[in-house]
Order: sequence, then structure tokens, then C-alpha cells
Amino acid sequence: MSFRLSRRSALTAGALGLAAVSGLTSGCQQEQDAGQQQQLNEQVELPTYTKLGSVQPELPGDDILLDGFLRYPADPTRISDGPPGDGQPISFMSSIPTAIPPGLEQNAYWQEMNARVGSELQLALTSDGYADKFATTVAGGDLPDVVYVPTDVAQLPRLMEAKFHDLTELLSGDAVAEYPALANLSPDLWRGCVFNGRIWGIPVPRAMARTSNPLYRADLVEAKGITNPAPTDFADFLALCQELTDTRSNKWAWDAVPIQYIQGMLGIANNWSEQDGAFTRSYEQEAYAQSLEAGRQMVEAGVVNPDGFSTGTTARKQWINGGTCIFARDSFVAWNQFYTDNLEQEGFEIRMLDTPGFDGGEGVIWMGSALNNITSFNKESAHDITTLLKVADFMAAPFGTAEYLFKKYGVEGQHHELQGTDPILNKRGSVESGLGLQYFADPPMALYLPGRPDVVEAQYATEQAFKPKLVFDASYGLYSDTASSQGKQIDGVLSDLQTQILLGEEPVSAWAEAVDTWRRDGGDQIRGELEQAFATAHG
Amino acid sequence: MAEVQTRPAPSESQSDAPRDSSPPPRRRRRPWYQRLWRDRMYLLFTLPALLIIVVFHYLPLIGNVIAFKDYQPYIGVWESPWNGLENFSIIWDGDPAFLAALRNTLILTALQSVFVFPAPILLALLLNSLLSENIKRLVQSVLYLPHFLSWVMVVALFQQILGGSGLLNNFLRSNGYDAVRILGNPDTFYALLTSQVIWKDTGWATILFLAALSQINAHLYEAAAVDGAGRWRQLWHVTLPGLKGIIILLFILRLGDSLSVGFEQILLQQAAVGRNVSEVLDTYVYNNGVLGGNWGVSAAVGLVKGVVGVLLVLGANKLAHRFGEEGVYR
Amino acid sequence: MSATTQPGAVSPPPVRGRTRRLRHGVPVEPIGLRLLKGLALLVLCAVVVLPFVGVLATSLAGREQIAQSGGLVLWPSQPTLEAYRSIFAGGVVTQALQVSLVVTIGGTLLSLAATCLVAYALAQRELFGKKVILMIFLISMLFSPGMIPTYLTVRQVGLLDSLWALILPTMVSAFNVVVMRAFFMNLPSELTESAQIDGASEFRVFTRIVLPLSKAVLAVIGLFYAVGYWNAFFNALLYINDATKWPMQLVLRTYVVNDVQMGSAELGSEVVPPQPAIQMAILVISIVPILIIYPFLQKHFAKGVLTGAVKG
Repeated sequence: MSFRLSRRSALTAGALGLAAVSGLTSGCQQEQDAGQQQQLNEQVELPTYTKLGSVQPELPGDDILLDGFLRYPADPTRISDGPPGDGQPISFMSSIPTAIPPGLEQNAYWQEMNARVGSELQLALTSDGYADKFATTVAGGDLPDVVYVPTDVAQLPRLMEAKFHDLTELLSGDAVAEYPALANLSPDLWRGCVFNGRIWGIPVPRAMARTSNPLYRADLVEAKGITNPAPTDFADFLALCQELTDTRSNKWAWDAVPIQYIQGMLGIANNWSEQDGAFTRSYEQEAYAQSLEAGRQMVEAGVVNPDGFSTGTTARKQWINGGTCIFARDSFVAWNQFYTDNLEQEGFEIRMLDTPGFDGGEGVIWMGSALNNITSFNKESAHDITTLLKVADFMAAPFGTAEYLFKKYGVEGQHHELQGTDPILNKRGSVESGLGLQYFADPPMALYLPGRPDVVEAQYATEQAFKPKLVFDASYGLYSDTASSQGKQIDGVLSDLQTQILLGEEPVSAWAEAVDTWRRDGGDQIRGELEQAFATAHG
Repeated sequence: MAEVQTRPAPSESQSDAPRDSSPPPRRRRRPWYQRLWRDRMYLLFTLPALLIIVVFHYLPLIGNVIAFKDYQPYIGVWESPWNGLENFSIIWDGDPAFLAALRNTLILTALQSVFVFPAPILLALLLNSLLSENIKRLVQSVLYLPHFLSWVMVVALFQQILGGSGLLNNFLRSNGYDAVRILGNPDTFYALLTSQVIWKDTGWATILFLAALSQINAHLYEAAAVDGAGRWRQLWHVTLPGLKGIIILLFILRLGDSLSVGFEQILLQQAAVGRNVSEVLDTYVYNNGVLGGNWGVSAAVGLVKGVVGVLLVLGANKLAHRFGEEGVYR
Repeated sequence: MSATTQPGAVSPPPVRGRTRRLRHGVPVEPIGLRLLKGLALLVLCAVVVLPFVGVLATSLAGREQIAQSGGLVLWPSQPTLEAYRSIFAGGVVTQALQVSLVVTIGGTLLSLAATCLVAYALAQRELFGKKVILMIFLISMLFSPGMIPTYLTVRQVGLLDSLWALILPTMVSAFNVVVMRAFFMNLPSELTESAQIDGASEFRVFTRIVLPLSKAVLAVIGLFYAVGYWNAFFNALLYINDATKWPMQLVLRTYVVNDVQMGSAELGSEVVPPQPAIQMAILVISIVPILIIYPFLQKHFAKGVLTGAVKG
């Protein structure tokens, strides 16, 4: 990158001498940063992981797999002692995936939450356009006390240093024991919050919950007389899809081309793979072109909804709900949502496929991205930082505790009713509780679907089966400046070409050349930065 | 035509024009302070709007210096390092993708000038010729509705109806016909974009032309009728000249915007069609700058577009004056 | 549209040379042409109306029907108001509606006032500094300040978290100024001149003579502004943290977002109406107020004024 920068600057130097020189210097500076920073990254001792034992799940997970709960524990225990707040208002800015909740005055849940936290929570919520809101708020310099930081913000390390509280002393190693619910977050999660050798925030975990594979309408598949749809290889899978497709009645097996699933069959890496310190991007693997060929075959076979390329995921879910399509590649979270969306549909069942090898044997499954966001604390906040961490600890209370029950479901009788021991959120509860506090801090997710222990058991069995096949993104926790500024743009070019190849508008042979361009336009640079970062970490 | 000419903005032909072109019977021009004093009331009239524009437009416009900087929100506009013309390199490094985007932008602008721009004029004339006031109002109120749909909705509706699994194609398939590929098809993409714009905004855009039509002096029609002018000649000699000013004005303003075509509309439909066909200048900047948090790049391209716009507007305005029109200003 | 001497009543030119058949003094068109026009209008209306029927139907449709159709429903088999009920639950939307009304009405009045004043001044034959002022507006149309600099200005002026932030930054549209000026310039100058000779002040001439003659353009520009304020959401997103001060459009947008990837695993307990129904209901809710006020403005759009004024 610095080469490109300086070459261009040199070209313009004649016209704008001074400006070009300053352009050069900034280019060099960035280069230096990348090197130093990773060195620092690994000097930090991550918070010591201590799984909270206060609640015993029926189906125990581990630091990777999710705990499964068949029902909500009776008489949930309280793990905190007294309100963590300091009586002064705490402001929090966050992105939420739902509608805006009623304001404090009309919101009993919010009022009760303030009482239990011991500080008034002042919320600035946004559900669409958070990136813009975040950028302007940062630019204006008036950040709230607690901030939802997206993981893909450009130049994240320098942003963190400029604006947010360094948490290293407070959380590193055994120091985290002060905050038992935060200690309940595994080291893998914390790695995503470390930049320049310091801990800058609290991870809001997703990981396994976000791992995606084909979800399918088990009821419709069974109605076709297929008892065990699990494919043994790609050919078997394609045959299954063809069997489930009936274009004449406008039914397709897939909502979109499951290219990632095919890539899993071919053992293609989850984004980046690493071997002996050398990094390879999935695009560069030989099998990638093969996966495109196979995806194209699926399009030609007509087993994919023709609007699959131009429709967003939310709209595509309707196709699954209505049986227009059988398969959608989605996550464990979506699995639950399909049930919620179809409570009225008699016999509606969703299951998830495992991944076979392309030519038989076993495939791989890509681990879901570890973090939803990082929660960071404004450097200039008037609050004592330990107070804010205590509030975060309160918010991170794990599934099965009394704190969790209140945070997610409010007060019994007001926001939820109990069905056995399962809390069922009522209308008021769902409207009032959407304050986005799960992004303040959250425990590792749990497998749980009230009233449907059978589904939880199926989910648990699925994740157990997945475990040996899980592959991780080797670039996770390694910061690359080029990736942060140019990654999306050069990847965008390839993903555009990929679509055109799948649609048959471009030949598969165009792929190799495009990957070469990708390397030149920043791919190699990113690789270099990642390898360097990896070397400092492990060397 | 001369006899039935509408009063072509009387003020302009009598006052401004002579000052610019022909040597006027030169009144001695009063010194500036006298003119200032004479016009104090009118200048006061301009103050509120000027204040708003200066504070909320020109003041932040200074912030566009980030076009020459490597700006990041956490650093601050003034503290960010200068990077010369680096942000502009997106424009002149000759990237084929950029050239394609420029080409597509120009094609679409041309298409829109030819098909989208005249549509509301024709519709306004059609509505204007209706006899029944009630029908006219009803039709008008129906046709302006799509303006209130966001692009997300328009695109979704088109998809539901014309998409590969939309109403039309589902109908065709269930009756044993082949589906037609209208959406996501590079060959029909421009036609699709153009018809979406027409569908969405034509009704709404008639409003201005209808207002202009209402300004035409009815005596002109009477006079034309007395002279024996029929329906079409009245249209040609009275109606169109009456609309000419506003048409030219709007066209010039549209020209200033030549390099912007349907950003959101295109971004929403880009995935399936491919960038080769669908990338336009604004989406290119988005995909290559904004997405990577590169604020300077979009400021830089904004500046260039502004300069191009100013040149086009000034040029077109000059041209309009050649033909004796007021244009945007004189 | 031509003008007549009766204010309010609008009709095509009253006298025609070669037309023979007259109805209420209006020439009757050849039947073929009338049919053609009728057909054209019918097609145009159908093309617009049918999708809107779908919008309305989907907003009323039940979950099962939406699932079956995969999205758009053409006719609700078992109409339900569930989507609307869900949107209005909690009172957030109702509150936001009030904000929207305040901003739209207040903003439009301020905008119209500022715009017609400056447009009228700039429509004068001679005005000190006219060209410069005009250029200031024109150029502002072609260079737009970035999102962040504008935010910084709004913040500097102290408007953050105030409803003024939803009005002032967009209060004057240069486009509307230029268009309105063009209309003012088309007014016959003898009207104002005679009044000025009679010694009326500029302001008096403007309010007593010019404005009454300009109802059409006032209605049009007013509508432009009103719709602008009504539909705006981005300013509120950036400038207003306290969601109880959000306008309706921004609140409504949050009902469409439903990003499962951000959601939590406990999604399992609550029934919400299907997303397409919510989406369409939102559309209906946001259009209805405009549907209500439009007819009141519409009668002004095509009102001929000149003849009446000059004559009377």
C-alpha cells in the first residue's frame, strides 16, 4: 500500500508539492504502525476464563459449543449483590435489530432496569444506519459513556486508542475475577477486543450461534417421502435438490445458491487459512473454481429460486415459511426464528444438514464470526470505569440466572407469563424490553426454545456433530490495516464476479485472473500484514 | 408565433437583457451605496434564506477539505493529515472499472434526459386537456402516489411482480410457458431502471408543469382561437411557449446533476446484474471509498462532480440566452 | 391549464375558432381522441393502482397467506389489523406522529416564508448584488457538504437533540428558490408597478398583490417542502439521540429492520406479524397523511390567476 501511495503522490508532486509530501509521510507512518502494533498485541494476558458454574445446563457445551437448556431453570439464582450503578445516569449508544422501544416514561421495563442497575440508563438507539451515526458521533467528539463499536470500522486500533478506555489493567489475567460474568467469556472472544497489545472493550459473543449450514423444512422433506435427506456427496446433494424442486408449481429447493456449503464440501478455508505461518485466502485455493462450477451446475439445474441473487435474507425467509423453498443456509439463531415466525403452522419443522465431502467423506463447517460487536467505554466518561464494568458484568449474567431472566424477559406477570418454568414474553414485554442491552454485554448464547425441548435436542446433536469439522478464520484477532481500509472493496469485485459466474454470464476461467488482480490490489498486502502479525504472535 | 407569444417573463426582456447584450440608452448607473439603500427592503427579504444557506451549507462545505486529506472521524477534520490529490486518484488512475462506471452514468443520464424528463410534460399536457375537472383531479391524485415509496419498496414491488419468482413468471410457469428474465438481466437493465423512474416520479413531477400551465394567460387562448388556431396550433403556439421557461429551467438544473443517477435504486439492484453494467459513478465511489471508511474519496468525487455541474449549468445557461431564453439566471 | 375569470373554476380556453359543438361553452373533442385519452389514463392509473392494492392487501393479510404467496398478496382472504396493531403498540408511533406533524407544519411555514421572500427579491428587475446572491443559491445546489461536516455544524450551532435540527438545516432549498423565482418573474409587472406608484411598501405589495396571485406556485412549493419534511429521517437519525423526539418516518423504519444475525437466541417466545405485512402497513401509515392533505392543496395547483387579476 505504501508503494502505491508514494507512487501516486509522486505523480502529483509537480502540481501540489507540499500536499504530496505530506501524503507520503502519512503512507509511511501507517506502514510502521502495522508492524509495531502486532508485536504489542501478544504481550497482553487475556482475561482468565472461568466458566460460571451457578447454573447447570441439561446439555452442557464447552468454550466453543453452546449450552443447551430444555427448559428455563426453576428458581433462578441471583449472582450479583446489589445494584452495580453509582446513581448517576449512564449513557449508552447502540444498534438494535428491532423497533424503537417506548421512552422511559412509558416503559416499566426500562424503569425497573434502572432501579436494578442503580443508575438511569440513557439510551441512543439506532436500528438502521448505525455506521453513519457512529461516524458522526465519533467525529463530533461527544461519545456516550458506553458505546457499541462495530468490528469492521476502519482503523479500529487507532480509533480505540484515541477515544476509548484501556481496560487491560482491569481485566487482564486474574483481574477479571472481579467480574465473574465477564470471566465467563472465553479467551477466543477476548482476542477480538485486543489491539496494540491492550484490551479495549468487552466482546459481545455470537460465534457458534452464528455458525451457518443448510436449514431445511423437515416437514416438507418428509412429506416427499424422504426420511434421511443427509447427502453423502455433491452428486447426491444435487439429486436431492432436484427431487425437491418443482418449477411447474413454482417450488425450488434453494432460496439462493449455497455456494458456501459447496465450499465446505470441498474443504475450502473459512476466509483465511494458515499453514506454517503462511496465509491463504479461500479465493486462492484451487478448489474454489470447482465450487463455482458446482454452483453453476445448481443454477443450470434450476434448483435455485431465480430471484435468489436479488433478494435480501429477510425476504428470502418468507420463501421458507411458505414452502416456496426448502433450504436456506443460515445460523442457529435463524433456526429458532423460523419456529417463532411459524408458531401457527401446524407441523412446521426445521433441521440443519451436516456437510459431507464433495466426493464423499467429510466436509468442513465454518465457525461463525466470534463477535457481534465490541462494547467500549468512553475515555472521558465521568463515571469510575469499575462502575461501568460492574454494570457490564450485570448485563453479562449467563442464561439461567435471575439477572438474565429479568434482562431478557422483564417482570413476571407484567412482561412475561410462566409456562411451567419457561418465561413466555407477552406483547408488552417484547415491545418494552427491546432496549439493546444485549449489546452492552451478553453471556455466551444458549440453545433454548421455550416449550420445544425436542428442537433444542436436535440443535445440540447438530452442534456436537459439527464440532470436529469446525474450521476457524485464521485471520481472527490479527489486525490488518489494509484489510480494514480496502478489504471490502477488493472482495466486492470478486463477489460480483462470483455472482456473474454462477449466473453463467462469465466463464469460470475468469476467476483465476480476477484473483490475480485481487492479489495486486491489496490481497498480497493483507496477507503480508496477517503473516507478520501471526509471526509476532507465535514466534 | 410572435402574436400569440405569452408574455415571456416581462421583467427579464425589459431590464436584465439590455444590460448584458445591447447597449442600453444608458441611464447613469447610481453609485453602489445608493442602490444598496434603494434595495434595502428587498435585500432584507433575502436575509433569512441566505443565512440558512450560508450556515448550513457553505459553512459545512468548508469541511470538504477532507477531499485533500486522509480523514478519519476520530482524528478530526483539521488534525487529519493532508494527502494531496490522493483521494482524486480514484478518478484519474484509469481503472477500467471506473471508466465503465463513467460510461454507464452517461448512458443512463442520456436515457433519462430523453425518456424520463419529457414524461411529466406529456402527462401534464394530457391532464390539462381533460374536460372533467373531477377526473383530472382523481387521475392526478392516483398518479402521484408512487413518489412516496422509497426505492427499497419500489424495487421490492417490481421484484414481486416481474421477478424470476414474481407474479408474472409464476403465472407463466404454472401454465407451461417459459419464464421471462426481466430483472437481473444485463440486457434489460437500463430499460428497467428507466421505467422504474418513470413509474415512480412522473405523476409527481407533473405538479410543477401544471402550476406553470395555470400561469398562462387565458386571453392568449382566446386570441389564438379568434385567429382560427385549432387544438394543435394552440398547443404549439400558446401552451408550449408558456411552458418553455420552466422546461428549460428544469432541464438546466437536471444537467447540473448529470453525473448522479439513481444511487440507491442501482445499489439495491446491483448484485444480480453485475457491476460491469450497473456500476455508476456514485456506486463506484461507494464501493471503492465509503465502504472502506474512506471519507476523503467521496468528498473528492463530490467536488469534481460539483465543478462539472457548474460548468454544465453555466454552459447550458449561456446557450439558453443565445436563444433568447431566461435560463436559470441572467 | 388556462384561466377563467371565476376563481376556483378551471376549464380549458372558453372560445374556440373552428369548433362547432359546444358544451358549457367548451368545445367537444372528436370521439376518437377522447377514447384514446381515456384508454391512456386508464392504463396509467392501473399500472399505479394495482401495486398499491397489493400493498394495502398485504398489510392486511394473515401470516399464512403471506407465507403462501411468498410476499405480495393481491387480496387478503382473512383481513387482520395485526400488523397495524403491532406497529402502534407501546405508543411510540403515535408520539412520533406528533413530532412529525410539528416539524412538517412548522418547517413548511418557515420554509415557504423564507423561500418566497428571497425568490421575490431575486425576481426584481434590478437588485443590488442580485447576480451574486443568485449564484450563492445556484452553486449550493451543485456542491453538497458531507455528512460529517454538516453534523459538526449542527452540533456547533447547538441544535443536537432539538427539533430545530430537523428544520433549519433543510429549511431553504435552492431548487425551490430558483423555481419560485421563475414563477414570480412571470407575473405581469404592471400589477406591482402600479401599486408601487401608489406608494405601497415593498412588503405590502408582496403580501397584498404578489402572494394572492401566486397560490399555484405557493401550493406546489409548499407541498415540496412538506413532503420533504415528512419523509426525512436521516437528519433525525444523526442529530437526535432521544428516540422520543424522533419523527414518524425514522421510527417506522425501525420496524422493517429485523436482522436475525444481530438477534439473540431467545427469539423463541413471541409472535410478531409477518415482516411483509409490517412493511406494507408502514407504507400505508406513512402515505395516509399526505393523502389527506393533498386534495386541499391540489385545488390550488391548477388555479388560473392571471386573467382574473389583470381584469378584475
